[in-house]
Amino acid sequence: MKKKVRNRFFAPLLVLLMLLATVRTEAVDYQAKVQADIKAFRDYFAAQFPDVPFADYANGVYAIDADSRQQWLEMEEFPPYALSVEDGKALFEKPFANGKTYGSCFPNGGAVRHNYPYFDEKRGTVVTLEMAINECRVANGEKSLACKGGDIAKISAYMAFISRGNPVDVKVASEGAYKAYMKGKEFFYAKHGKLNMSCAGCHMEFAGKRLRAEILSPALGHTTHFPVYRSKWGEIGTLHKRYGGCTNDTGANAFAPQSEEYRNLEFFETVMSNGLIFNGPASRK
Amino acid sequence: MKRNLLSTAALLSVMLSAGDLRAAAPDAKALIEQAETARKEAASLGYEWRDTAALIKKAQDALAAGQEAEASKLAQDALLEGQQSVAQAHSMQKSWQTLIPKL
Repeated sequence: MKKKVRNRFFAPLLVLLMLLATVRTEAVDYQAKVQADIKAFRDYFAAQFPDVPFADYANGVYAIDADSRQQWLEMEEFPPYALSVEDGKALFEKPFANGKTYGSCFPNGGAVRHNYPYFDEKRGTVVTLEMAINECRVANGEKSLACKGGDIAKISAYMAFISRGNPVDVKVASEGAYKAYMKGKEFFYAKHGKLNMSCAGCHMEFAGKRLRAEILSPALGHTTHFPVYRSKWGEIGTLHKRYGGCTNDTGANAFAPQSEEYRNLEFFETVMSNGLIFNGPASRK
Repeated sequence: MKRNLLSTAALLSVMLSAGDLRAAAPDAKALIEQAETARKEAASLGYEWRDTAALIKKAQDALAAGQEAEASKLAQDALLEGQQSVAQAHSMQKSWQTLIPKL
């Protein structure tokens, strides 16, 4: 009799416990959600430019415009970023006041471009290469560098150069990472500024079309080749400098380089470029 | 007597038109404050426009120089930008997903 009562009581309890355990262990697969976005993003460009091989999107606008590509290939014979790479190498190897170098922060001689950006779970924020360079400096008693151009872009260019050929493979593996990704995604698709323009408006819907004398680049592959030597700037500059210029062009107030907004945008755009290779630094008009 | 009447009428006319002008030009100081409030709200939402702060600064400078009408005009422009950028922020927060281009 006692056994029957016990069974009647424990059997449903056991089922309930098993159900609860299932719910608790059924983690959300954020990477799968992101994968669906990546596919839709790639499919969009594949439909717009059916003759462009996927790997070529790492070359930005030169993937989709033959004339510009020819000029760029000629420019690449004596790449204007070469001196910046040399300067970056010297800066990377120059000891801080405490005797250490950037090598104390970055393994593999600094060939780690492909490890950035990533979502730092402990700090709950996206870490970019330029942010890590400055954090290395501060950890070694040096002042942060300005993040648009100059020395930080040169160090970043050197690190990108020695990391060339590594695949883009940014993971979105947690709720925190997914939130950062979604903020970047919102920034990318939402319209900003007095001109009511979005990143997607220019670099998806109007990619390949002219904006005055320029041909708009496809967003796929945007982040693979930075930092870039831009003829308009006359020097090498960071991705966030470019973001600031674009934001300003829409009539919106630009965010500071390495702001949370731009780091999240870089995170989203780089995730969209998963599967391409890092091929920075590059030259652009 | 006739001359006095004419002078009085002229004086009254000037006073009335000055009164009209004052009524037509809204309080520049209040407009500047409203514009700054709107700008800050837009900034907190991540949607501040590029020129709003500069317009507010110009309005403040005009007011400091005693150019109240010019200050009002600039502050009104800044306020309009501030209000439109806040409206843009609310609109985008609700609808940005509908802007994802489809094949």
